[in-house]
Amino acid sequence: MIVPYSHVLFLAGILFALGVVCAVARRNLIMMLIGVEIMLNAAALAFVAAALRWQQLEGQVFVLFIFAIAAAEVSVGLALIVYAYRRTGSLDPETYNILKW
Amino acid sequence: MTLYGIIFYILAAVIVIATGLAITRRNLVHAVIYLIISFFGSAMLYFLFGAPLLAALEIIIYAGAIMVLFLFIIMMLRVDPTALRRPSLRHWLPAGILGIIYLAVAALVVITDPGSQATLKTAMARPRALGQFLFQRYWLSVEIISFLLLIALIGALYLARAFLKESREQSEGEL
Amino acid sequence: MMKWILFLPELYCLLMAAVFFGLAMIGRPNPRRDYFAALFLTGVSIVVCLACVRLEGTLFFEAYRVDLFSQVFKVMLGMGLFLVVCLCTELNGIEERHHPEFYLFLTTCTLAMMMLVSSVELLTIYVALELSSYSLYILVPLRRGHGIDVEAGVKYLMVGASASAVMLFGLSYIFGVTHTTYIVELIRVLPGVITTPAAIVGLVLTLSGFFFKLAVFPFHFWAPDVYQGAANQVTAYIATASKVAAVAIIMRMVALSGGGSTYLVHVLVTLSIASMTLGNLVAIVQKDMKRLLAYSSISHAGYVLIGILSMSQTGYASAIFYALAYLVMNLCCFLVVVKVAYDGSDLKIAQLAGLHRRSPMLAMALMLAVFGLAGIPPTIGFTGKFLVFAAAMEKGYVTLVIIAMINATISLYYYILVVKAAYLLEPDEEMDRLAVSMPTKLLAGALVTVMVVFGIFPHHLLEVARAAARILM
Repeated sequence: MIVPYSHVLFLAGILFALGVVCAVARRNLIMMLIGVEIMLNAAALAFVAAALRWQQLEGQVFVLFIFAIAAAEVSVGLALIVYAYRRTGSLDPETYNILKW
Repeated sequence: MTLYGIIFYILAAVIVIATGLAITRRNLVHAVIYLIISFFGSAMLYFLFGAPLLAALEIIIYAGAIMVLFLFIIMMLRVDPTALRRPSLRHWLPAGILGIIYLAVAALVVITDPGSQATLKTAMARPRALGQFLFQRYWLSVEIISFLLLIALIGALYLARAFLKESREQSEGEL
Repeated sequence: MMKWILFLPELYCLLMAAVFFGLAMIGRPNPRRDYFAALFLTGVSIVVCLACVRLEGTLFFEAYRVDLFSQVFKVMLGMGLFLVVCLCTELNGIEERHHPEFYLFLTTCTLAMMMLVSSVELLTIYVALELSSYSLYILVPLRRGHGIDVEAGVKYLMVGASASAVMLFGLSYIFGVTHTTYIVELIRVLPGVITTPAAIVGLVLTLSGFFFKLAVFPFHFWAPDVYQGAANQVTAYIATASKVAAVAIIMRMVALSGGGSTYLVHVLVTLSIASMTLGNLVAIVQKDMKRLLAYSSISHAGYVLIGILSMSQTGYASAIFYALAYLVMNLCCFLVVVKVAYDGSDLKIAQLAGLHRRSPMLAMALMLAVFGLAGIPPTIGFTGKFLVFAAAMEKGYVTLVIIAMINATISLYYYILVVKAAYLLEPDEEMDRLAVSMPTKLLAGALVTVMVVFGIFPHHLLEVARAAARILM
């Protein structure tokens, strides 16, 4: 007996909301990417809990794939960010105003 | 409340506090360090939920590889923490509203869903069973994701090369 | 052994990707070679897809289903890829030595979308969607020396990654409620629990990942910037083939609910109205042709949603038909964009001035395509809109249809502005005639013929669309 499933879901919800806040509020590309990572982590937590609730391995398999996606996202994202930083000298998305946000 | 329950709530508190601290830091290095603590907490939760392999991978991939990559980039770009503007109310407000709406929805979901009161029982997925399951049932997805990683590799390589070429042209222009 | 035949289109795409990967490894750039290789290979891919259209069966532990629905969409994707490659005769927007990579990413994206339309298991769907997204994330900043491409690329990645994280969270809810990841099972279980908030929230969050692909309202804001920032041919691909795949997968996911949820319908109606209205109103003030097409695509996403939210066989069939119509019309528009802005720059609407003298053929193609987008008979666009509205009327969504019609009327204004620029305005300085090659003329002629002929005689296509939609029910 650990805790009710709903408590885990709620924890995942809080984490996810924190990730959303980080991705939306921080005016910094690296912090935005970190926000997305937090969101992915929240989803992974919900999956593990669901896998335990139903005693099914699918949920855990999903988490493995989330790790892979997160790695791909970070590699491409950071490569793009570095490229953009060298071009504009800034990590603040508001200075990128050739195109309107 | 069982011992497992107490461990869960302590870990949950650690994770939420560490993440909350991480997203409000101005200094990016501090943010990443707090986030690593949060990921360690998640890894222990996975352990508690009977996923030892995932717990190990969370530490190796998330806390290890991904966060170190972040640190590496932050140091490489030499981001000056004081130069980063403190996010103004204009930025926090929509994010805060979004977060609160989201939390309300999450709370509603949790309260109204009758099945979610089911208490989680301890169990463990052995890494061997997980691996066999993964490579039997999901090998198409494994192939797709390996292809995805290849594409990400080529893409990152391309972006780095494009940047190198540009900087070379620039330095030639300066000479 | 026979089972592998089912996987043939995907295997062929994989082979194409391998060829381009090999070409990318050979050091010396040779754009002509790359172009003809791509043209030939993608041409064959249509044949392969058509040959496999009647196959049926399942693969990979039931995670992968080949049926008429998926095969019809695979043919559309193959056609989209081929037509986009046709536009690459002067690929000036991308550096010569990166042409093989460009084709490689186009192919992998198409491959991923083909797998996406065939997957009937949530994890496979998610992974295939990510593969297609990542190919596009890298295609956008491939553009040569503009500066705006990196910016567009960063935006696309940030919005896309957030959307996929939201979608993943939704998937975790769905899995938590239904403890299955197979669509067949979900269709059985989900309607029973669809009234619980967890299932609704899960489904809506999941759909948001696909809405990002289709550029539906809350996830639309990448579209204009990415359309403008990416190279013209890449934009053509994003605007056509990737939209088609998104329509297919949204249909599969919405069909999951079994039509039993009024909440879901309300959400879809709201999003549809918001997309149409926003897209059309903002499109009016645009000066850049690609930005205009981006906002028009947002509004068209709204129209397609009308067909999908009807949740009936006619509705799904009309959405399939609309997706095909949109593919053809939009490609025709981009053909003109690519040919007029042959140096790979962005095309301002004002630059279209005098097009009817510079190249009558392109001007006519543009006019018909734009009329199609606006929904003027006898083009395929009118037929598509008519079918979608009819399906919604059948279900009694009168207000929605009226709003959509008002929107179609508003959109007429800016579409007419484009035609006016091409036919009535004179350029400030005298411009040379555009050198339009014979194959281009043939292509434009073929697209125009398709638009008009299937606009007047849609029965055959509609039969196929109905048969494909029946599988969803």
